[in-house]
Amino acid sequence: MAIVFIPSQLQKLTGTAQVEVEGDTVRAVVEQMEKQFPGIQQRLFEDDQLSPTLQLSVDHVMTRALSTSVTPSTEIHFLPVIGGG
Amino acid sequence: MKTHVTTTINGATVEFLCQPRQSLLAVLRDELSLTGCKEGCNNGNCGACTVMLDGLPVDSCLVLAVEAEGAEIETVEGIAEQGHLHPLQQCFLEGAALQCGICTPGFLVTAKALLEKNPQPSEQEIRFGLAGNLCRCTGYDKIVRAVQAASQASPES
Amino acid sequence: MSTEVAPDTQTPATYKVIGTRPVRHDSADKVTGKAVYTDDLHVPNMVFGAFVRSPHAHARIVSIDTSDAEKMPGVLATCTSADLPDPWDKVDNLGEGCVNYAHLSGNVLARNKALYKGHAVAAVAATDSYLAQEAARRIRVEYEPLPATMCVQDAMRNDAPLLHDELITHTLDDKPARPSNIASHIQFEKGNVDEGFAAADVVIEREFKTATVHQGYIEPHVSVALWNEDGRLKIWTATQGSFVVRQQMAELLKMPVSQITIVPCEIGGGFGGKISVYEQPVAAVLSRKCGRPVKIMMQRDEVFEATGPTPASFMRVKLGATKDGKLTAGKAWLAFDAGAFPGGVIGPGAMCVFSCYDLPHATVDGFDVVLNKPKTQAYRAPGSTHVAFATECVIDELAERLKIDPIEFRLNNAAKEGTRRVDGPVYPRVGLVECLQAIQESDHWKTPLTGPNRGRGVACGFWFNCGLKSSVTANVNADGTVTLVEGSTDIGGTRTSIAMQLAETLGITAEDVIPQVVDTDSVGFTDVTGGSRTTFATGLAAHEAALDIQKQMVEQAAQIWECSPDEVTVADGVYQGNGKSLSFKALAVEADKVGIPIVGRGVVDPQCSTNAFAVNLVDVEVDPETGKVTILRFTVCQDAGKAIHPSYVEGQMQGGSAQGIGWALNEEYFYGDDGHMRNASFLDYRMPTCYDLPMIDTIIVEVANPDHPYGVRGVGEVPIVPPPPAIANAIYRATGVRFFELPMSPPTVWNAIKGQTTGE
Ligand code: FES
Ligand code: FES
Repeated sequence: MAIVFIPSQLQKLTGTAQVEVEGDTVRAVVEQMEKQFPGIQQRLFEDDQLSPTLQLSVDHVMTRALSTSVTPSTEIHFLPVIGGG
Repeated sequence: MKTHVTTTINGATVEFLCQPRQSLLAVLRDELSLTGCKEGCNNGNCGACTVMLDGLPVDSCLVLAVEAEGAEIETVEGIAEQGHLHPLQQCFLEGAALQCGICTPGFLVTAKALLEKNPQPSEQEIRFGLAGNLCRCTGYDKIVRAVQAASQASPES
Repeated sequence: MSTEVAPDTQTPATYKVIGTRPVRHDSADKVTGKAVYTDDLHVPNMVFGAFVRSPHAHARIVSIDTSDAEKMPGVLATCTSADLPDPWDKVDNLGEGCVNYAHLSGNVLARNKALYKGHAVAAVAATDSYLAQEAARRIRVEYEPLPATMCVQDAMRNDAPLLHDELITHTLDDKPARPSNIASHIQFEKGNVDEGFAAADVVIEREFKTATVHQGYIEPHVSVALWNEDGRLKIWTATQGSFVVRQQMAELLKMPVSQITIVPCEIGGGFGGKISVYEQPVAAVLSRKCGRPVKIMMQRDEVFEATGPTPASFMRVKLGATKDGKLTAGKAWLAFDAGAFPGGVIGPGAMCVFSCYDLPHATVDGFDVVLNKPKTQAYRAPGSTHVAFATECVIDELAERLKIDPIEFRLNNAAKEGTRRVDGPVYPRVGLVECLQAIQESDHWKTPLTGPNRGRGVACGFWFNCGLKSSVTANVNADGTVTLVEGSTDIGGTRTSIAMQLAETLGITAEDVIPQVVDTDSVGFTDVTGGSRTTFATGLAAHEAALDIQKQMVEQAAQIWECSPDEVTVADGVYQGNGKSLSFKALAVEADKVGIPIVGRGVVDPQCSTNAFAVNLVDVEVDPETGKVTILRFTVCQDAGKAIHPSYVEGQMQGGSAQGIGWALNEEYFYGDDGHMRNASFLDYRMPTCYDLPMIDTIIVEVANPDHPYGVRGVGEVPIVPPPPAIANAIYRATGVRFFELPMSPPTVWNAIKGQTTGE
């Protein structure tokens, strides 16, 4: 289970800004979300992977790994990827 | 058609053949393997190519190699003597006055010329004297301080 | 001394090496002219390449005829986009932002259309560089000029000429049906912004514009490529990341990474601009075609016109606060120019716009917009400087309107541990409050500024800093020194800051470590020197390698002393066991005689932001006759987490500040109506010289980063962020005029002052 912060542009699919979703990994959470809010996965994924324009923030960790494990208090954020100079 | 040129570089007589259109910078770097002077702009605006020509610092990218006939040239390679760094070089490395280092040879040549003319320059005189050399990394603070330190360390003072 | 370390933030641990200022390992090479930069290389049998570039800002390429050039004696090969494999629409994550290879390939050599003045269209290799340039002029390209769009707001209009006929806005929302120049739309929302503004006593909304600026590294882009008959490709190049160049080359040329070796030479500055490839693939193709090594070095005007500057921007920022000085809500609308291809720096811009403050309610909309300018790239804290200019100027105006001291107002609302950013995540321990307090305690703040036409300004800045992958190996030598092999190109002294962490961990001196930056065949994958990550992440790898060495040394000591490894203890580099004791060095000498070689290994991929904050305090004087702004005094305070080598931390702070000052006061791309840059030289693109600047005083705050054994945060990028707004706020105090456009160059300032006195 984890707390997913829904990007504002997807909130019309969920109706809320945050949802608590079952799952032990980010991938499982997204797959579970897809069951609740059909269509959400295709906005976040490309070829079954996280869209290359996105990164995840999972409890302070910036990652693109969908295998990252989550706990009930974990926050998942979908953010744009950033580069540095 | 190439022109034959005879010069003195860092104290030694050097002869080379060059095309009339080649700059002194191009010849120093490409023909004579003196790659210490750098090309940053090739049009006289960055100072990375500074060398001493008959006692004056010049942007070697703006000097034609043929103009070096009979001239005395000193490059960054000639600043250290017999394995000993010049006080300016020592102050630059101790004072962390370089980051990427591409501008450093030009600054050293210009600063040496400045100190030879004016052994005890004020901060403003240093800043004015080095204004023809661009550094994009350091914000100049540590370069100015290194030149100040060298002016205090130099025997003339 | 210009530097203070704010006392109450010092890390309690006492270190022997960290925090000292050893002479850096490569400095003798660099002060004698011996250091080898790419253009210093003369590879045997080398020839030279030159580009043909579009004279139009937007044009269809009708035909390219290379036959005349090829007939010239000494011309060995030509190349156009037809020589590059067909690109596919693959978007890859290079660790530092993502890249679309179809776009990258099209930027390296234009396909069908030239999208900006200076866009590379063809190239030629010849036996000398003058000949190559002559030959380039003989390549005939027929163009059909198209209308160009040069400014963000125009490019966003429905009737704007389209750069890419199939570009559909990338958004998480429903995709638009029609193509446009809007490459992406990002949005963040926190709380309820309408409620937030309703609760405010004062609301201020302003519009801001910033011009295109360039990183301005002194060394132009340069590479030597050698494509061998056995199919292996070797490239010597000036890059921030050799492995990222390898990856781009492999994709663009469709060959396995294992066939490519990238040799990073010394690099003359990068600041984000030497990550993308430009001339490398072209030099490679020319080399393949002529069978000889090919060097391509850009001229300075090519660097300005055809490599990636950082975007121009148009921004609208609105903030509300209560009478007692609490921010209640913020709203930002940001449009950044991406240049000719999608993928500008709007993402981080949108994430940074309110990142210094605890805002309960906010929305941010960010747009990445393509137009007929060179593809933009990162420039030191990419996107953050733009948005800080907007936000920090509005913050200053709010503080003034509320009659609250500008530092107190910022302290009242400063982001701290637990603050939820507008884009969602919550900050761990960060040091903005400490930086603001250190400024309040500084001699500069406590010394009143007097005199006419003078003013003092304050501003804050934020940058994430990243972690990413780094690998090192460390070989213990028979004399007790350690050779440290790393893949991070050293742009500003990182060899030393990384070596110092290895030395500290092993209990040896910095001089006993010999750092070497090696090619892509000689060390594990390492991400770019960028994102303020090198001292943090490669330093972390060095720390791991040191622990690995220590473990092996303990085992060897146990063997020599005939005891169990558990009985061997290590403290401060001294190994003890079975009643015996040896220093690291002495033990290494012994171990060399009896044991197997000791090689430490460190591989890391820390996935966290290290969150850097900086605050500027600046005093200016404005000449009412000319509009020229003189910086009288400048203090930058920054949270370094832990300054490994304080001189080089100060150097980053000073160098970043100077770039920020240039951005604030002078630097900009001037475009003519024809879309041509009018000032593509260092004479007319006016970067600060040392005569333009005062000493830059530094205050290093050390709020340890919990994610690093020595508390290191990145330091490289954030110092560029606060100078533009700090200077704008100072100019306001000096003149009574607020500025909403960068740069605040003499004509702009003069016109504004004149407008004010004549009541316009
Ligand atoms: S290369 Fe000569 S001044 Fe820049
Ligand atoms: S140290 Fe890089 S340009 Fe001066």
